[in-house]
Amino acid sequence: MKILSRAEELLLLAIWRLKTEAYCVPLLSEAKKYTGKNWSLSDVYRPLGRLEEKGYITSYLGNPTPERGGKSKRYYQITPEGYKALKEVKQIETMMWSGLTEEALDTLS
Amino acid sequence: MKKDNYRPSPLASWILRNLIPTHIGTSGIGDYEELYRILLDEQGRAAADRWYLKQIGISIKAIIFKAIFCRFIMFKSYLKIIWRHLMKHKGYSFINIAGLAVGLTCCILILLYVKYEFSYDKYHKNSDNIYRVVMKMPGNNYMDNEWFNSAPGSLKATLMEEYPEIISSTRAYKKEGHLYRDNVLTTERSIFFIDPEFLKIFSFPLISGDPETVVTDPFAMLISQRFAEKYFKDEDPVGKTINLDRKHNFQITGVLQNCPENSHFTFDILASFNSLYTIRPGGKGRIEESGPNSWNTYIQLPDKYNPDDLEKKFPGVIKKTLRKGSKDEYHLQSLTSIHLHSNINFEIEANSDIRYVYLFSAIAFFIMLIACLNYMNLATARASGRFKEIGIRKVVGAGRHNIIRQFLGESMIYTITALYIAIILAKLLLPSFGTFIDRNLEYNILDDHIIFISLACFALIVGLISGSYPAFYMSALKPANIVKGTISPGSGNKHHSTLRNSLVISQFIISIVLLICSLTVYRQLDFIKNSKLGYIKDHIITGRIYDSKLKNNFEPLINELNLNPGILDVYVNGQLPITINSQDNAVWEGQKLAEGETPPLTFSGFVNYNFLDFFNLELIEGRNFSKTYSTDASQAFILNESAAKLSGWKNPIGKKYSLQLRDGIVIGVIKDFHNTSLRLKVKPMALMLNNWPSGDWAIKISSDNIAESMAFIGKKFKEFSPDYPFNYSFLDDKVNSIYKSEQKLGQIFSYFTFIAIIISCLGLFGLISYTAEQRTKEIGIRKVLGASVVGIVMLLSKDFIKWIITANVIAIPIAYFAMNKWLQNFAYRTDIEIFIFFSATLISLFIAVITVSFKTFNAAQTNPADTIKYE
Repeated sequence: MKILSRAEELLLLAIWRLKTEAYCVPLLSEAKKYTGKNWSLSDVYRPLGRLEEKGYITSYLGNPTPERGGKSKRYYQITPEGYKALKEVKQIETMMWSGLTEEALDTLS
Repeated sequence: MKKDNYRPSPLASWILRNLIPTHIGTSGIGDYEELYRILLDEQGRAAADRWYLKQIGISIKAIIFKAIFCRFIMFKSYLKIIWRHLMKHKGYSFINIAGLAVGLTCCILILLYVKYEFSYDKYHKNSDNIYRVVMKMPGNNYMDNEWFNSAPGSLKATLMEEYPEIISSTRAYKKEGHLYRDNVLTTERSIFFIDPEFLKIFSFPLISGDPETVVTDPFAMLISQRFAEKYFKDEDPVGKTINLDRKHNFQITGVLQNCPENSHFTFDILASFNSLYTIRPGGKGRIEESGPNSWNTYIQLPDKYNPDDLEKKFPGVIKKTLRKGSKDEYHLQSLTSIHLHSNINFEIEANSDIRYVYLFSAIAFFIMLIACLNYMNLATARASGRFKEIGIRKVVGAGRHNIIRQFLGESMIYTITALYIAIILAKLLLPSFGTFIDRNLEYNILDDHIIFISLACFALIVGLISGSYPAFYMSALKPANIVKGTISPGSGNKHHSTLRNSLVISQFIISIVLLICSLTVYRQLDFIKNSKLGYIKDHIITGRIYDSKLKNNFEPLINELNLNPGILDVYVNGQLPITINSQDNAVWEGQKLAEGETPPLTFSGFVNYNFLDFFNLELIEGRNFSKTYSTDASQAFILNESAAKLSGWKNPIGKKYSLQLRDGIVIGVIKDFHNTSLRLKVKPMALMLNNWPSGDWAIKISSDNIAESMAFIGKKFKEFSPDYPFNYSFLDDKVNSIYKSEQKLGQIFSYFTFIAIIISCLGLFGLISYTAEQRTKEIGIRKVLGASVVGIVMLLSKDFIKWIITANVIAIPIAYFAMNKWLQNFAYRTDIEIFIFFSATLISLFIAVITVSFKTFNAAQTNPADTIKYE
């Protein structure tokens, strides 16, 4: 299993948080909320594509809505493999961070 | 607000739609539109439009990546196909790529040579403004050439005085000499005596020393870095003393960077010109006087000055620098043209000739042409075997453009591979090629962008052209017909095979022309080698002595030498047959001259008493020089047949004759001999006794124990002249070196003929293999029906033999014309005989038959049971 990239990890978590409303536009604002940076759509599409290719998420098309000029939304869902990958990332992270607290970082920086 | 106004401009969304990768699809566009709308509500239309445009820009990046990735998948498939083809037809692929690579290698090597030839003397900062002053002496047809690289010593001063536009000028005089430091150092062939301006006109940078003053004082000397390293090792040479010829002490004032080899003269030693005032007999007065003399003069003109303007004013100077009534003219030669365009008398070093550059380029062109024809020929022949592949590809859904792209790409990959191989091969072969053409070539094609890019373009173009037949013709065929077999490689493309045949024929035309040329050049060389020069040249060693003590008293050394049984004869203090090269106007009793005509030029040979015996010259009338006649030393002339005939006398003996300020009588006539090369006709010549010790010597040795005799001679010379080096050469080598350029030409022709024939044969072999393969079934059936092996070989070879004969018919007149022209350079020449054409035809047929039979015998001998099963 490959380790997730930062963007992939972030988007997976955003999809989990958004539950049934996980399509690109809210994903974008979620990402912006976490990072405080402006994300462009193509910044989102590429990691989403990779995640889908790896089988961590699936997508389905919703019904067309008028505010999108009649275009349907593509909703994303996390697969069991996706959750497994998230778990792994979490484990790696805890392992790597163990012993290093935020206070310690504050004094060091 | 209208609904439409909530949407971005249609053009922008159209662009975006086309840019967006398909897997994101319409839902993606929906995402963009939704965001657009949000922005529109929050910040207004302008900001929203700006954002939308920005998104297009950002997307392009991703899209390009995607596009390349998608293509690459297809590209990978093409690469795989190319590799499989390579492996399946190893033989073809090898022939194909190797042929082109060899051709390209020749081309690269010759390009480097041509580039080098054009680089001569261009490294000087002022190279475009430097000119050499040369003289044309009408009527003075020395060696059939009335141009001379010489000028009076006073010319420099006169030019500077009369023409203020000349920026600067310098004389350069080359002298040979022995240089000593403590004991014997070296014999230096070219010591240049130069005016101080020399260093300003030419760009020969100094490593140490002040350029303003290094050569202003008499007996100042500059040495090259090479020379300094060799003879001074770690010492600083500046300030040290070097002795010239055991007479004059020179002080080293500076060290020069080594003179680049692409110069029309090269040197290791420069010395101040005013040293000559002391060294030369006659001193300053004799050097600076007017009248024709041997001082080379170079001038520097201002930028963009037209040299013709100056040349037009030259007649004015002539009066001041030359004898009254002289018809001589001064002309300017631009420095950069000297190496390739100047071939006049007394060049400082032998120059090259632009004709060689043309010849080389032509050969490169033709070899390349053969290689390309070969490549295209094989590529198209091979492609016809891929009809089925194209058919299947089309059925599966490939568009025409896919097939075009595939075949063009494939063909270009082959040519690029060939180019790659050629670049490596050229690097490996460059050193030996450099030695062969006597040039120190540098492998700089990768640095030279123009050459490199044009080679790459060239390879691509060859790839494009040869790939275009399968790409454009075959891709247009209907897949159904191909797959059904209605169109097959054997049917319906008669004009394509005609094209292939004519390509093979043109290859062989070029090869045969080259073959005939090299045969003729070798025949002429053979003719030169075997023609009687009129004197003997074998087992004779010669040299020149500088030791004036020995020069003036040779007798003791001669007596010692004669004691050795290996030494047959000794000749001293006189010219050799090949060094008789000065001409003068001869006047004789009863000479009839037209009004204003100058007496004819006659070679004057200053020889010693035993000249005729030593060189086996045949006396046909009168007597030889003899010490019993005391007047012989100052008055006797022996003429050659041509001179005797020119004089018009019935009986020349006893007639009055004068030449070279000597008045005397004719005592004998000898048969003509070739003192100059066979390029020139034998000219009138008069021999007279030499009355000054020239130092030239020649020793005839017996053919046994040559090494022992040589060692003995060396020992004796050292004994009698311990301070001077003993240098010698063989007379036959010297004679042969006259024909060095012809020998080179012969070698060049033969090498390139070899390459051309090899490439043509590769092509032929490829084609016959192809044909044999096409006709496998036919051959099987013929064999079943009773055809013999010979019959089948004949069947397959018939066409090829027809082509070779056609090629011969076309090649022979071309070669005849070219060689006839070349042979006109020689006054004495072989005829172009029918036998040469005959043998060229035979050789080409023989080679072709051998090549073809490799395959045909193979094809004819296979068991028909196997071949009929084929497919």
